[in-house]
Amino acid sequence: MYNSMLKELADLPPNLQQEMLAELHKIARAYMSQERAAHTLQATALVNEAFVKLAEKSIDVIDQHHFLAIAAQQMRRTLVDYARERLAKKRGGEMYAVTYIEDRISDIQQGQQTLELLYLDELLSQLAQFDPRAATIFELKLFSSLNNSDISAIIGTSLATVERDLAIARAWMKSQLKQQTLPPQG
Amino acid sequence: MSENNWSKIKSLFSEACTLPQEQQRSFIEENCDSDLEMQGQILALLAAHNEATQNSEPDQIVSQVASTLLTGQEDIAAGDLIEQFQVEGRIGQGGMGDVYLGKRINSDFEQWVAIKIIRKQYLSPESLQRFRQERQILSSLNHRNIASFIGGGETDKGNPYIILEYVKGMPIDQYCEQQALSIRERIVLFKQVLSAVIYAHQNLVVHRDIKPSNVLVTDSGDVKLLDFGIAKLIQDEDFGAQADPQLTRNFERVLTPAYASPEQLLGEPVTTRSDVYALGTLLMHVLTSMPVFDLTDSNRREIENLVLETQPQKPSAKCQHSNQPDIQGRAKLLRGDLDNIVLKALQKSPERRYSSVEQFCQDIENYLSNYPILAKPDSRWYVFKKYLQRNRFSSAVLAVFLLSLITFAGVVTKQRVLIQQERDEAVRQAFIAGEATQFLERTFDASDPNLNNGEEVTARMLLDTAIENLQDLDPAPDVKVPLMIILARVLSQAGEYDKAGPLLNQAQELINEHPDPSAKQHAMNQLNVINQMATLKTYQGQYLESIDLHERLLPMLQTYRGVIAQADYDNLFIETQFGLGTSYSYNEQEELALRYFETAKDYAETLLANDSNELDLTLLDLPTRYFGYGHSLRGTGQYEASVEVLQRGIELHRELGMQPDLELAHGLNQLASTLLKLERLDPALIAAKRGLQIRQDIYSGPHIEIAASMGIVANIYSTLGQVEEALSIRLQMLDIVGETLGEEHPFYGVVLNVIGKLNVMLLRYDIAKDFFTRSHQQMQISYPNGHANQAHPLLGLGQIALIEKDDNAALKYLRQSVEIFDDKLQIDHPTKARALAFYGVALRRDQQISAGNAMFERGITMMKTLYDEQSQTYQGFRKDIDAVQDVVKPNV
Repeated sequence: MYNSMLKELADLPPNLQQEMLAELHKIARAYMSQERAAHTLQATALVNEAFVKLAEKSIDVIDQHHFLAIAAQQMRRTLVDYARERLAKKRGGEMYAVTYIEDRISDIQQGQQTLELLYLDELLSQLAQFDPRAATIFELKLFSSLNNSDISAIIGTSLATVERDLAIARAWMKSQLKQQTLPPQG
Repeated sequence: MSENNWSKIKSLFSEACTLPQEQQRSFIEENCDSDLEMQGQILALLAAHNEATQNSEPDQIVSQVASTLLTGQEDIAAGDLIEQFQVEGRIGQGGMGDVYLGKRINSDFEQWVAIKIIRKQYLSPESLQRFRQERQILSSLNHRNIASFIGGGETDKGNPYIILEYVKGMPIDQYCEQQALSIRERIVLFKQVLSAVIYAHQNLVVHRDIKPSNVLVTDSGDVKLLDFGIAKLIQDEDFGAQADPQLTRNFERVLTPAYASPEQLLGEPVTTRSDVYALGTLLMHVLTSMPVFDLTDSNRREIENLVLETQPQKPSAKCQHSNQPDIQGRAKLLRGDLDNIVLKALQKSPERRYSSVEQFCQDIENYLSNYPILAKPDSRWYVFKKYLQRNRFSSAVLAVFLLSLITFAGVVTKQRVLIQQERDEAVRQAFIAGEATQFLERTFDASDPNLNNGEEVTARMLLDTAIENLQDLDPAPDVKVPLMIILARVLSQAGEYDKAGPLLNQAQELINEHPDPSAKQHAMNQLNVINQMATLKTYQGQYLESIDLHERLLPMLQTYRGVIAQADYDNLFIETQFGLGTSYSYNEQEELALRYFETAKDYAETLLANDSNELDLTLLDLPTRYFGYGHSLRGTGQYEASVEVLQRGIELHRELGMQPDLELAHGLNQLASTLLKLERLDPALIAAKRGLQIRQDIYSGPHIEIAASMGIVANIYSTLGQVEEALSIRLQMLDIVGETLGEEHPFYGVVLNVIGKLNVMLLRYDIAKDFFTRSHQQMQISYPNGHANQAHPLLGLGQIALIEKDDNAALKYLRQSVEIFDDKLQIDHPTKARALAFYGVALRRDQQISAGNAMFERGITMMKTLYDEQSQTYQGFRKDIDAVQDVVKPNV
């Protein structure tokens, strides 16, 4: 099951990423008019919606759950690329520290979190080396809107296993993030 | 990162997770054998697992970054050119759009600007148009504490942008922390913000989005406000049908909820007081280093609940609860004045906030210079005292109210002591005394700043509290009815007739429900309720009903004569006689009025001569009796006698050592009116103006008695020929009458008529006609059964018709006028005389010469019996008549 998913990911049509981004933007705009902008957008909810839309279009993808799992990986990739780009820009543009901004605190947090996302990506890869199942489950949890039973269906394990894996993966991630010993990859 | 024993770690961790937290450590220590490294790793994992962190949960990190990605639409990029500015890069982003730094090109001087792109989704085509207009207004704001507006336009993609002065600075809250400013320094800094907002308000621009990130402090310590009125640019001002509700909702969401006012959250109109609120939130933040409400992790409903419903904590209390010692230390400095200033700005209801930013600023200055502040109650009686100082209306009304209550409670308590032998009665009386005292205390609580949030207490608030408290009293009439009557009396005096009437009806019902004809209290309740009802009817202009009630009272008074105390009988007898005199007098039945006034005065003087025990009470009312008497003497043409009586009343007022009060004002007015009749204009003007001054000093708002005083002053002015002065006062008076009595009150129509007359004197006939017509219409409503007053505006319309040679109209109006006068006013009266004379002229113009001559003669003769031919009134009358006597020469 897990292997076939990886294979499907490799077979993902090259234009999917662009299409997905376009879809995400469209949905994001719709969300902006419904939810408080000042509050964190529920990225996973967006992702879910985007994927459902894409799934309707992509007849190649038979199993929607599988497709969502693939898209979660794509989402991770997209976000990490974006974070790298942002960080690079920030380093290049000296004026970033000035305070003429609308939502200063969240922007500082965002700056921080851009960095943290890169740590998170790196940590996920590390986790995959000694506990690939937990890493996959956690990735699905973070980058899609699948619930735990959906995840257990995709991975083909019990719900209890998913919950245990998630708990330790999250705890490990947090303990590592707190140490922040990892240099960001860039 | 070696995780060698991962599967062991994982299973122990998972097992530990199922245990209660306090058992986890011992479980791990037991099961890790001697592997301390693994033990440490698992404990670290458990710690991370059990810890709820705010911002570093992995899910949140992903969400945040995703959110940035999804909302951060790059509209322009570094290197793009916007007008004469080159984009250097993005320096901020937010709900409305992104902010870019721009640099002026091809210029000798270096200029940095902030370019703000507004997301198109917030704009409808109409608001785009608005946006262009508003830019013009914003570009006119020029103040050292406001980041200047440089320009604006639309990008290639159609997104509007604005260019603002780029401010290199730090948000005010951060600046305060970084510089570790003292409270005083923080306030001085905050005053710069106020000055900027005051300036903008003077230029009719409301900021709408004041918050720390919009208030920057530069290195040199200058405050710069950003984004003035920007919020408005994207808001559809007209909440009408054409406004797009979706856009409005979008906008509301862009607002920063921690600083938005309740009305903004509700989508209600935004005013300068919304900025007052936002400034309050800013001051709170600056003083306490905390926002008014902690909105972290709150959803929209919770935020709304906090902003709309929850009373903010006092700044001092906020600091007190802080766990940082330096913030805790501020509590002492904030307590009192600053607490009150902040809370006044943060009132939920805009009317309760400072009425303007100037006022807010004034209070801050008062605080800085150790003057008492507007919003400060420094003791239980502070608001009360301030109110008494500033507003003598309340002192007069409240003094009556509170004295009455205290006296009542005192009397009941005293009775309890006197009749202690009758045990049951004593218990009952004790209960009554307790009830009354409690009522008093609860009503006083309204003036306790601790219970009312430091709001100003007004007399009306106290009265409303009293009405509310009444409902909780024991329904037995012993306590409740006297309190109701006291309250109704005060309400009547305060002009709150709508509240006084129902209270008296309720009292009457209570009395009827508990009949006890032999009891003294029952009798007094019965008499007092009717007396007060009659007085209220007089206040309301329902004179016939008032007379009716008073006349019912007289036989009742005789019935109860043996039951009630002699002093109470005497007092009620005088009041009833006086009340009848007043009502008849207002109903223009002066002969009857005179009789009752004389009886009242004689009775009072007899008491004065015979019974020294009741002296005080009688004396207090005696000037009033003289004033009423003098009024009626004037009404029956006995002017010299009237002046004499009125002057005696005024003299008596002074001799008794009474402070200038409403009664004195009344007496002065009466005197001025009589002096006016005698054409002693200069002393009349002095008396009238003094009366007006006393009334204006005592009443805070519009009041019918101020209008009455104005009427006399205006009369004197017009007699002196100063018509413009008279007109201006009359117009003010009309507003007051409309506001206090309503347009259906006879006085309103009367004032309209007088304004018509003044306009005739100023030759403004069209305006005059308008007022006469309105007056006539109002009079029809006010007097459904007809009244002499209805003839007055018809006379005015007739006179103008004569002047304008509209003979048919003149004939019609004047005939009606004379018919009404003949029917309703069977005495000699100057206005009736005018109507007759003018009608005579109209008849003659209609070639009814002999009828006209007769009518004309009637008028002239009547006027001559009323006024000396040399008097100004007579001369004025002649002049008016001669002006229209163009056809036939006078034949006098």
